[in-house]
Amino acid sequence: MNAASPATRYDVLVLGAGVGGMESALTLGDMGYQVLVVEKEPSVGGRMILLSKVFPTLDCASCISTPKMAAVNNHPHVRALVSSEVNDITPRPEGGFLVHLTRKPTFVDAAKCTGCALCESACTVAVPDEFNYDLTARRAAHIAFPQAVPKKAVITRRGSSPCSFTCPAGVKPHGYVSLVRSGQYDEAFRQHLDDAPLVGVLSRACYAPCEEACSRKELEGPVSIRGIKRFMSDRYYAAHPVPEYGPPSERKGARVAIVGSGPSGLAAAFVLGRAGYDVTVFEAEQEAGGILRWGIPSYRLPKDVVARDLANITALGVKIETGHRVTSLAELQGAGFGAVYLATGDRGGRKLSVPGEDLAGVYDAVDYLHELNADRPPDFSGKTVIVIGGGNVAIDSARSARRLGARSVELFCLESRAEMPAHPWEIQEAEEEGVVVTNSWGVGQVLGYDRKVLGVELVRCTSVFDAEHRFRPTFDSSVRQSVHGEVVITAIGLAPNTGAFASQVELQRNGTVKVDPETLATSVPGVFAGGDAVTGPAMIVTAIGQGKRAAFYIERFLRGEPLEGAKFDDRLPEVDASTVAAEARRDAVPRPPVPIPRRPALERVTSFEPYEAVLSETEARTSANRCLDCGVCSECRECVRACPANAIDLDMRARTETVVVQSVALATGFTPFDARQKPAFGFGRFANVINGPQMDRILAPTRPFNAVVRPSDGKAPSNVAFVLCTGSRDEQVGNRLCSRVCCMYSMKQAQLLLGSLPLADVTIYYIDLRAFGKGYEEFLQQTKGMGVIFRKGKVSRVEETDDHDLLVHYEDIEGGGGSTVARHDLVVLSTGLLPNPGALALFPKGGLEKDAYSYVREVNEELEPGKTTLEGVFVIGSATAVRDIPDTIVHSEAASAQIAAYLKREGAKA
Amino acid sequence: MTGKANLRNLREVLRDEMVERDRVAELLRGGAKTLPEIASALGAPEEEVTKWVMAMRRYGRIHDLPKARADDYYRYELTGGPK
Repeated sequence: MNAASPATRYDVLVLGAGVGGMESALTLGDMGYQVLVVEKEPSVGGRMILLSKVFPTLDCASCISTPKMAAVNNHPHVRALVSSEVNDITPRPEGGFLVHLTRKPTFVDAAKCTGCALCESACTVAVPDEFNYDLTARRAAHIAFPQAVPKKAVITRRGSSPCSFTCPAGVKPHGYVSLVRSGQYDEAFRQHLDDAPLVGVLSRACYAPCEEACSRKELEGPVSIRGIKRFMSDRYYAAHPVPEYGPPSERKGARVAIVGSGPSGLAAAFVLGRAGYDVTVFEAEQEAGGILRWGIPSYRLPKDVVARDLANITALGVKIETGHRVTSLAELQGAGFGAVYLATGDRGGRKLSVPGEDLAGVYDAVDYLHELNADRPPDFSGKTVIVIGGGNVAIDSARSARRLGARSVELFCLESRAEMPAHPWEIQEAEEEGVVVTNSWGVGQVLGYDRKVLGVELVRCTSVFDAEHRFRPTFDSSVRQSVHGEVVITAIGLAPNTGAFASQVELQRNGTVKVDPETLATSVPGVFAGGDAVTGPAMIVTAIGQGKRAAFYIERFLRGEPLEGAKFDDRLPEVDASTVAAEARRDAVPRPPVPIPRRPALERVTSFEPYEAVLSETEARTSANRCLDCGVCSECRECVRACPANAIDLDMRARTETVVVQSVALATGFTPFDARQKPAFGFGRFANVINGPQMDRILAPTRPFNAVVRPSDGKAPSNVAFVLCTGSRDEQVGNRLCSRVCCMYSMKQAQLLLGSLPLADVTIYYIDLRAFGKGYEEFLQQTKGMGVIFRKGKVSRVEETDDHDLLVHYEDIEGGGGSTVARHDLVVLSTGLLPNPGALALFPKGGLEKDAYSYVREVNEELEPGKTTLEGVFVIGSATAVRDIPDTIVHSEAASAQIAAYLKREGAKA
Repeated sequence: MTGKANLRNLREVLRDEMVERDRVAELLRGGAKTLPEIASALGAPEEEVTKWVMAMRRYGRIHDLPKARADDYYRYELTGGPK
């Protein structure tokens, strides 16, 4: 049945591939019926495959299960879908059922995966291993368990981590943070470079929206993502003064012109250069970098860092022609460039449009910062400087003025403090450096005498934005003040540098280039535009993101592929930060952020030297270890690099399928009782209080530990207690039913324990013993004969000693009565089984009935086993009542006979 | 006897392996050690060190040495496997 085009009609849908589901599928398949098995886990086998041995024969659970698992996976009449879930099942008027199911993405191409597990070893994210009931760690990339069928890796992804989802440049901070945490610093740098260039620039000058989104922000403060990037970037560049690579050997043979060498143009050049295109970047200035080179002061972004980042781009063979101002798109196209990317950024500052703006001593912030970065700083020594504006450029201007020796620097802006576009931390740093920030004032005029500035007249600004949050400032002209100053720097906004192309491509009213927002295509075929020339002033990461987007569609254009229909951005949905933070808050020890050392304010205003220090290796790893792994998989892509079969596919997405089935068999199993509901027993609080399923894992050949040892310290236990009926026959937890298995599996575990640790004492605390099946009573007597102590007594609570031993308080029913205490070094809570209500929700409301205990109700379990209240729907094994393995198999066979009879009847009707 | 606090957040403990495994490995370069010896040297809770060491064992970084029946603890040493 595993054909290339799977069928859409089946005789039976078996929901769940535990022992009951497998048995039924094989029986019906052997009868010639077409069976579809849907299992939510990545392997068939259910819970039985995780057991050590089975009672009362002590046969190896794996030895019994694995042939069935392989048979289900390979049966000619059975199609087994793992990592899949049924969404709903609807009865059809004409008979049968319509089934919608989801094939969950495993992010590994099962056809290619060989099960070598190299991805596991390479993975940088550790999470609890659910197949070992959380006793140990697994990796985000993992094979479910050693006997998994199919034995294929899967990658756990909860969604996009908020940091990675937020970054407009498509950088995956979670990835490089997890690599730094693992001590893989060069890999961290390369992973970032894989996502986006200008790593050094971003490590210094990015406003780090990722940190704003970080889930840890809701706890003690965000992870210092930019600080971590600075650490890995500085370390990498110190070790690699020149790029490690050259131009790609495979050339595409097409030429691309990029106008402007700011972050957007450089990002596009990097992506296209790496893909093998011949890229030429045209830059009007004498040096490349745009705003990175000419706009940002060197105390925030040293120019050697920009230069080293640029080398990563030119190493790909990208040519940068400086001093070349492009004014004609037609000329570029005529010169043989197959595509053009306009990334011309901003041309200069917007005007105040008030009297006196042309006086000597009035500076446009963009021109002023340009001159500063060209090593031609104006002389502000001893002068009183007034800065107008509340954004990042205004702050940069003011702080630079302080470094130029200004006697005082006062910044006025329209906005209130909370409305200022500048980031709170940079405003705070400016104030630390002596900049005086005064809010809610606009400029009425620049005052002067003899063509020189004397100050400004300010008008009280009463509001900045209208009800729709559009920029519509209002003033109270009756409230004015004059402020003395010898220099006025205006930083009230930037205008797009698009004037030269106004008659060549369509522009918006504000002067930005009009583009398709998805493809960034302009009105001229083959010409794309992005960055500030399209968005207006934006963050560096936004510009980089635009450059990458443009490159994606330019490639499609050059390949002659339609631009429509392709998806540049296909991130998984963002993981909810509050949910992650709430989970992390439980039993966590606070981990405050590692502060990034900064030079004192008075010292840093004496020069343009960077004032922020780099984290040490220990600080960087400690910082990285604060990451909460929100999306689970970090997208570090170490698995991609490690996989010899090229099977990892992080772009895999969920797929839906619709099938028609004649009948449904619910084999959805049980829910294990959560022993945390009995807090007096200490499960989850004391390391050496474990539950029955965990004990089975410890005893299994594929155990999580190297031997039978206790979880607190690896000691081989010498005195083990079992507490029967934990969560069963217990009104306190709302479960009146006997588990029907915990007596027997505890005896099984006791026998296996004594096989491993012959000198150990084993005590079973019980209310009464139920050995009802074939060979069970003999098994009980055999257990007693091996020296296991049976203590009739209800356990009331468990306490822990300083050396992790446990004091079991119990009512000694047969030994004289009264409350007694016994000391053990390991306590196993023999937990029972609860209903799994999931199956009921798949059907239309009221379609399937449950019994008084919330199990799927059989209409007549004595005469028609497995038949439910819905015609054509059957239930198997522990989905309808608590059952052990032999009973489940017997019930499964009985239900299969009912299903076969039903199909025969329905077939005869048709 | 004590009224112990809850165990630390499991996910947090397991994440710590990615950093602490280097400290464990460094320690074991000096010779095989039991879990309590490792925990004592690192100044870390024994149950957390158990989690880290068992994960390191799972992924081939360390392995256990045979123990005498009378010994309470296994000793673990580096394998020279994946770093």
